[in-house]
Amino acid sequence: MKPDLQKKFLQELNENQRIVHKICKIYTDNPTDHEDLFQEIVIQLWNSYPNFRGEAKFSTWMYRIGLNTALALFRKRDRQVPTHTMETMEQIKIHDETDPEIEEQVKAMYDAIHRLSDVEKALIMMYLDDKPYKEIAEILGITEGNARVKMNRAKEKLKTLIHG
Amino acid sequence: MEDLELLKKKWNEERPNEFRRYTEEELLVMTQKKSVSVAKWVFMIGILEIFILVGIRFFRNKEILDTKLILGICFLFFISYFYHKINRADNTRTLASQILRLRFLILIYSILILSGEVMERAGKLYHYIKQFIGDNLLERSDAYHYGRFVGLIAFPIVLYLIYKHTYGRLLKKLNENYNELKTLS
Repeated sequence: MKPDLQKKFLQELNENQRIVHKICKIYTDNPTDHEDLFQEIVIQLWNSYPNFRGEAKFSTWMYRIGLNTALALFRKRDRQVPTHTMETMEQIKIHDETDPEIEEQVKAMYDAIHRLSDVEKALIMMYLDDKPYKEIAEILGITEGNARVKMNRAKEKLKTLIHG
Repeated sequence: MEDLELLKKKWNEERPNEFRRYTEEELLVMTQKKSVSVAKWVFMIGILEIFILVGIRFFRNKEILDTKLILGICFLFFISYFYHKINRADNTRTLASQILRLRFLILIYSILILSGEVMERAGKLYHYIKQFIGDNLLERSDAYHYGRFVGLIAFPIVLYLIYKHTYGRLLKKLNENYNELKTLS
């Protein structure tokens, strides 16, 4: 890749790295997997960047490749996650919240999301990011109507997982 | 749904120290690392598989213009072509189907090679089966033929187990996601 193109890529990636982190947060439940997925998304973005024509915004393109990596390309390594790593993740989450009740509620939500299927996770994530149904359908390769139906089902499932 | 609205609010709040902030230098280092994507693994295993099968054939027959060797080279070309055609920016369903198509191509090659081997040895296979189920099997005590027969039976089972633990494990999640999206369509 040409140096100026490389510089531009790194700049844009740096500005939008929160998007990649958010995908990792939805699809992984420990810091090691989070790091692995982050790295794989960065590699896929880097490899695809020469074909990026700029028809969409960089962040939109990045979102799509990031989700595709999590859904179709990434495979968690088979290994035992050390208990202290899991604790660190929990501590980070707890530290983020101020009100203990809200903190508990948000934690329960994330736990429930981690129990959804990969496609459902993608739908919930796009809902949280306020993506229109047209874009959701385009990203996943389904019709808009089906995206709506599946989204409602995913929300219902989430509700059941949280409240039993 | 109250819970989801709360989560949405929290999700869109930018909090300092929520995530590790990588520098451009660190991101550059990441771009230079090797991908461990499912597509790459399928491609590498497929190439290795063809090389092994072509290699065995070549060392056994010592012929360059062997049909199976040419077939192997053709498949190498197609597999490389399909791998490089995979577009990470396509929609998820198309991307998944592209990876599965690559896997299917490798499977077609393996089936062609294996069925060819079985057909070549059909006569011998018939002979082994006849011997194996024959009344005077124990009297003949032809250990060599038993070995060949058991080998022919065991080979597809071993192969199936190898496939299950390579492609099967690799593509389990991808298959599930693809089927879920396919059902939706």
